[in-house]
Amino acid sequence: MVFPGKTGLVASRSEVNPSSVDRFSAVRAASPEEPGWEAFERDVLPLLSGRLRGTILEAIPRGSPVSELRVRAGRPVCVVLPGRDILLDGSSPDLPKLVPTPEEVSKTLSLISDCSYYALEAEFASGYITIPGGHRVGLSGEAAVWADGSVRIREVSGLCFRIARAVKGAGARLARRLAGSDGRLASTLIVSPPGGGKTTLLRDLCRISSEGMPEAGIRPSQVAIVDERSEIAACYRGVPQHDVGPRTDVLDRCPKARGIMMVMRSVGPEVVATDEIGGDDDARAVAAAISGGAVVLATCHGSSLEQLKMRPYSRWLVSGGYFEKAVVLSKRMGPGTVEYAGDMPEM
Amino acid sequence: MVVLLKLTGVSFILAAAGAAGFGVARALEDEVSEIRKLEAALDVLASEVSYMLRPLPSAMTAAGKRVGGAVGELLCLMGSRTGISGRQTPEDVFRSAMEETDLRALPHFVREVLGELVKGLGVSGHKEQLRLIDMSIDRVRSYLASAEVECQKKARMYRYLGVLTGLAAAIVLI
Repeated sequence: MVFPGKTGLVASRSEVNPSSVDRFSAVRAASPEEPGWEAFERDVLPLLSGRLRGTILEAIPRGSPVSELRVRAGRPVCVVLPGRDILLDGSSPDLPKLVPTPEEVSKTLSLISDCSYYALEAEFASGYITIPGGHRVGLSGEAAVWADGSVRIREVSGLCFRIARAVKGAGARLARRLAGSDGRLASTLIVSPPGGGKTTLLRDLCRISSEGMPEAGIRPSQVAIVDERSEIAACYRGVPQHDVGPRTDVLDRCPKARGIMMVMRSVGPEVVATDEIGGDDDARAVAAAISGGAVVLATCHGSSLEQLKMRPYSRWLVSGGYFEKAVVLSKRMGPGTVEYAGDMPEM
Repeated sequence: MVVLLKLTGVSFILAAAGAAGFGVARALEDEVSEIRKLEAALDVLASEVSYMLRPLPSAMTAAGKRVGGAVGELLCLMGSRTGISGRQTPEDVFRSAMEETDLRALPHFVREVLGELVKGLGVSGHKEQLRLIDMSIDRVRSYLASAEVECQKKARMYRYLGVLTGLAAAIVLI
């Protein structure tokens, strides 16, 4: 299945039932979360100086589905659209030259950090900031390594605005396959290489769990998202910017292992979702949550279920039978190509 | 009739001179009061920024609401116009706020301290921010200590001066 296009999602094959090759059609709902011009104009452009804003508005055709804006001090502004980019370097008469000054980059950085660097030190250390609308701003520049080994970007000279996208309905057809016997989704591990669409699918499965989906036999559940990298719900000041459902609590920017235990104790979720299980501590916390009666929806890097055996923590989780279902995504036919969706095979 | 007119004139002169003296004394006391409010606001700001890690716009608004007065009004204004929603830096907002007539009533010292402070607000880690605000608090406290003594002396002096000037004028006119 393919998330970014408006044409639909494609399931390539199912390892459980090879004959069930089908073509999903979860069309992206038009919403404020829709990537492109509307979000770009509403959330990103006002953060730029008047000069940059005016020139970009003149140069880029109104309504273009902008996916990224790259602002680098001393170098031309670059607007990225699906499949191509527009470099404002003055190379043709209809393309103005637009080179931001270090002061313009610095002022934009100040605004996107809400003039509160001290409140975002962890985000600066991780190299990105989330702004209202759920968009991410990646930072580049001169890094400094501190005595404790942490890295900070001391002089920010480049800002990469990535327009947030959510694909409502991305998990609708899969939800039927992933439904458990008790009216909730079964504990599911989504495996995909980077950019394969696992977070997009996880986000929509959270929404489906929270809203319920009677046609798939899923009742509304209390959902808790432990969003260490702020990618699932894209919280801004603790408020989710993506639709993750009405019964969803989000613990934003909290380390997964600690966060899962915290939400299990504090909000009593029926479903816990977390992104990118990446170590023994995460695996133990997931196992504890499942043993505690919660359904866990999680993702893991990889290109096949076989690869899960190669890492001790994922092998332990899978062989321990914690996850009942598995989804494998790839980018073979575009991000979100479903290679497998069904019961977790025995390993 | 003449006596009555003279008495009325004398009482007007006394009242006017007294009011002038008390007015000047009151202005001095208000100035000290605003500096005290600045001290309190900086204390709140330090706490909001350093311990609560609250974003600067809401930290300034919280400090402004807590202390009130002209200082509080300025901080609330800055809080509402700064950052991602106001699209301005604290320095820009401070500069434009100073051009607004009602805020010119702020004591010069308060403007000076805030003008220096806003240049460094929000641009460094929480320890550096705390150090920056603490430096401003120290400066305000040392100024306030001498300003209070000075104000007590001068306020009393202006009150007496007003009344006595009125009396002197009345005696001369009588």
